[in-house]
Amino acid sequence: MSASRLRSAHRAFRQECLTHPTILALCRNPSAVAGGVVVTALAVLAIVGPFVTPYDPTTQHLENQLQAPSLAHPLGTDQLGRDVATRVVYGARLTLGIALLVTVVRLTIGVVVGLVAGYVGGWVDEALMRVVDVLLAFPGIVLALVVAGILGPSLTNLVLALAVVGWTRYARVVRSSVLEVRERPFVAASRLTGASRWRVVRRHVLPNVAGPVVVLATLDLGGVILAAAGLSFLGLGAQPPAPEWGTMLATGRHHLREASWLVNAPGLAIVFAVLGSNLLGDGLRDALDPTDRTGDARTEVARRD
Amino acid sequence: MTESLLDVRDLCVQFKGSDGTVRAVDGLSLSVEAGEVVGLVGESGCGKSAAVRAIAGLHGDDAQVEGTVTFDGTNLREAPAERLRQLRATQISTVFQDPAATLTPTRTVGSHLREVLRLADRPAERSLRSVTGFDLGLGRVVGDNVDSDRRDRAAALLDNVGLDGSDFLDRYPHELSGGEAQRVSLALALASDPDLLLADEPTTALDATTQMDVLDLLDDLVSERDLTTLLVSHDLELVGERCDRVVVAYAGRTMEAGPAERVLSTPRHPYTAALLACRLDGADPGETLPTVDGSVPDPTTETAGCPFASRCSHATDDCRSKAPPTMDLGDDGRVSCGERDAIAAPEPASASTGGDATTGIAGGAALDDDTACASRSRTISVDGGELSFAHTGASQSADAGQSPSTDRSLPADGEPLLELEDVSKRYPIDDSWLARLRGTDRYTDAVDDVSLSVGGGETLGIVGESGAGKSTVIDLITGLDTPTSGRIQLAGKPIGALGDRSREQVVSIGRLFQHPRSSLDPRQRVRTAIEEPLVEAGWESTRCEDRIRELLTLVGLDNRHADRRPDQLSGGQCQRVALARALALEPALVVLDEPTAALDVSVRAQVCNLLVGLQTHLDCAFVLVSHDLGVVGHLADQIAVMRDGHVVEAGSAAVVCTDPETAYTRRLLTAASGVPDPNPAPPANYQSLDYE
Repeated sequence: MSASRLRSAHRAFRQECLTHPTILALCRNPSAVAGGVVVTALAVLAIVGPFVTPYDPTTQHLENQLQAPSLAHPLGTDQLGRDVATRVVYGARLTLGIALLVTVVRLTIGVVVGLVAGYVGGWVDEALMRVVDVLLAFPGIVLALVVAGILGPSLTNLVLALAVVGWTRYARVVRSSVLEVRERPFVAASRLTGASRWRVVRRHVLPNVAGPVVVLATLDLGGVILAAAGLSFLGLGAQPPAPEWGTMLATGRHHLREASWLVNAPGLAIVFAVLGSNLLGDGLRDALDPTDRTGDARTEVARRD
Repeated sequence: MTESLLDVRDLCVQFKGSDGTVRAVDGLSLSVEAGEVVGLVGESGCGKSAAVRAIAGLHGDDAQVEGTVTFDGTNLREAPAERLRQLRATQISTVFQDPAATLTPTRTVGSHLREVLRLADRPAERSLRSVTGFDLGLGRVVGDNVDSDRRDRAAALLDNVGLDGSDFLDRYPHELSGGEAQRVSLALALASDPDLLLADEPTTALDATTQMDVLDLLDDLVSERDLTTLLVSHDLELVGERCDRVVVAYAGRTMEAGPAERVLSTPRHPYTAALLACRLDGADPGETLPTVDGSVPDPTTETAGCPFASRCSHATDDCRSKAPPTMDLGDDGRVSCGERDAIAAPEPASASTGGDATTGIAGGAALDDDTACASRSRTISVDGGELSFAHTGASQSADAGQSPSTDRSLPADGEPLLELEDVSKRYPIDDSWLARLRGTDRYTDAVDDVSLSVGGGETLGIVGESGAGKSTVIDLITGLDTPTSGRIQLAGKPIGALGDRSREQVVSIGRLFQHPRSSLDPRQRVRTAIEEPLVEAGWESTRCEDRIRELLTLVGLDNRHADRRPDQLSGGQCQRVALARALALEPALVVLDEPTAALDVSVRAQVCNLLVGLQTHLDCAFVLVSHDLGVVGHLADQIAVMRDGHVVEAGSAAVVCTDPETAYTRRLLTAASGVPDPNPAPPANYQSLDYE
């Protein structure tokens, strides 16, 4: 009884998902599929990897210093005898975790500020947007460097520094979407039926600005990964012995001549992570833009008639 | 039989889509003889525009076109692209539906015209602009007097379509009104002195009166030049009056073709008859109009039988399974229908037939209380008749004074439900502090000293062209905007902006928006949309469920529509959902903004019926705004005619519609009837035409 209900629920879910126009469009978009595969693979690696690898990422084995890649150590070992593959896998957790956290914090601040500015308007809008303007006047990475430098090197401060400088783009995108959506007749219609402000924002405005925000977040993820790795490379983020990709690059570069695998492995990992999230973001943007959805002949006909 | 100038045989246009092949045009045949005006008519979604594009060779790469299109002995389907281009430059011209969108916004009217003239002069020479993407200015270097000659010719062309050439040549498209833009595109189409004009809904996007002007102009130009024209429209009446022959298309196929007079007077196909019967002009105010139930079939599904079978009351099993035979009626054209009885005994479709007299027409939205859902569909029910009777009685009493027998007339001693006293709304054009300091601040009076009142259960119609201030009045009533001066009272209490109104005041005014689809959140299902006002009013879920079911039945939908999203509904269904939401909390007043403007003729009749029924049923007052005096005259008890922010005429509907005081109202009336003006204004001075 409950099993059959579960099955029918499962079928309904699949039906809903597999026929949803956005998901269909996403599956037809090659760059979205490629990006999705890469991002999913990295996520699986980050979650499952540490349970599979036999080594510890931080325990030193000085007898195994700078071993070339072999069966026992597929990506070799570093100057302190630690398995590079293990450190890259643990690094995926750390780097992607930081990037995700930073993006979520940026998104939350940006969406709240954008919604308030766009929907309330007036002097509130002016004040918030001037703050955004000021923040945008500084090059992002320089400002992050300053903030991280003042707060001192640590992971928490890295997240804070990157979040503080990056939310402005979200705020701008959300604000302009809100300004557009709030003038649409269905918002007026909802207000006229007696809906409260909060309800209009929650039920009508927010869902309709979600698309561009999701796209922006996915595209932003790559930049955040780079920035996080960059700050760590400069010694302002994760501190050794933490297996963070940027930190690994920083320490590995001293042994570039004799052991190139020390920088190749985390470097390639960063490349894949950034590439994957950018491809996925591009694909999402195309899939979520209903005016640009190719192959939908029915809307085409409707528009012509 | 004479040689046709344009001959289209078995034209098929298909689009490959993600959800199957869309058969936009499915075996359409028509022919146009030299000097003839042929109308191609059908509801939206019947493939008219796709057909025109395919004929002109303008279909995109994604369209698969089959069949033959012969123009002047040339098979256009097999002609090389260059030959097609030359033909379009010299012999075939096209006018599109949306005039503003067909003009390039960054170029002046004059430069549009000069380009067409240059291409028409030397069709073999490719436009430099089309090759390089920009104008190198070589024309000016090579032949100065050729250019100035073209300028003169362009001015003359504009004069021809009733625009002042010297003034309009240097204007940009955004500086034109809709009617002016369509005149410019007509001038563009005529610039090459074509043999064939393809006019794709040339007036649909325009006001009723402007529509008349442009059609009259088109009429003049066509007869002057003996121009062969294919006129596409969804309005059978409008086209019928101006065409020699009419082709009625449905679901991409020809249903009936024949001389315009014959088709209008004795339609042989049930679909034609149904379309004609949906007209408003013959019907008494408030009477239940005959409608065509259902909607145009989904173009992705392939039907073996007659595509109209599902909506046809004469349909037999044969109709649904076999392709209908095409009968040649000799001089009367031809018709594709398998039901000989329906053809043999055609009803005169003079449309004043109220009840079941008109063949092939189903009853539309009769508002039976509980059983409505089940019984509502095929025939006009007795209830429908009663509804119309009650309403007609009421509207007749409106000019005769108070009628005690109906509760729809104004209470003699009671306060009016809604009252506008000397309401004005002024919008700034330039009111910066600098302008104010220099005294150059400018304002526009969207609404100027308007006083209106609506009694409980009464319908007030507001008519006027676009820009007359109708929408501003609605915004003021619903509180989306506040008046600059004057007072608005609801049930004796002044009301201000939406935020200042009490909850009761807000929910006692419902509003239906002009574009039903955009007034629904595209992400919300119908159930959620209707539920919203109820949830906001604090109803618990079971009560909401019942109310939603009740409301859906009330507006003629049923429960299976509740889980759809707006993009899965037709235009008429969206309008019904929007109406259900507006009525959810039983408002005392419902404001209807152009409720039928975006709808097809058959759907328009359905919505009109629905509104008449609802008002009798719920006893709420309506404020109905439209540019179509026909619709307003049919539904309203009182009418206010607006022009440039003023009320120029007000009175009971019967008086305004039969004995209008102002020339402006008379013009609106003529436009609504669709019959050409017996004394059309000469096009050259249409702008200065004084209405008062």
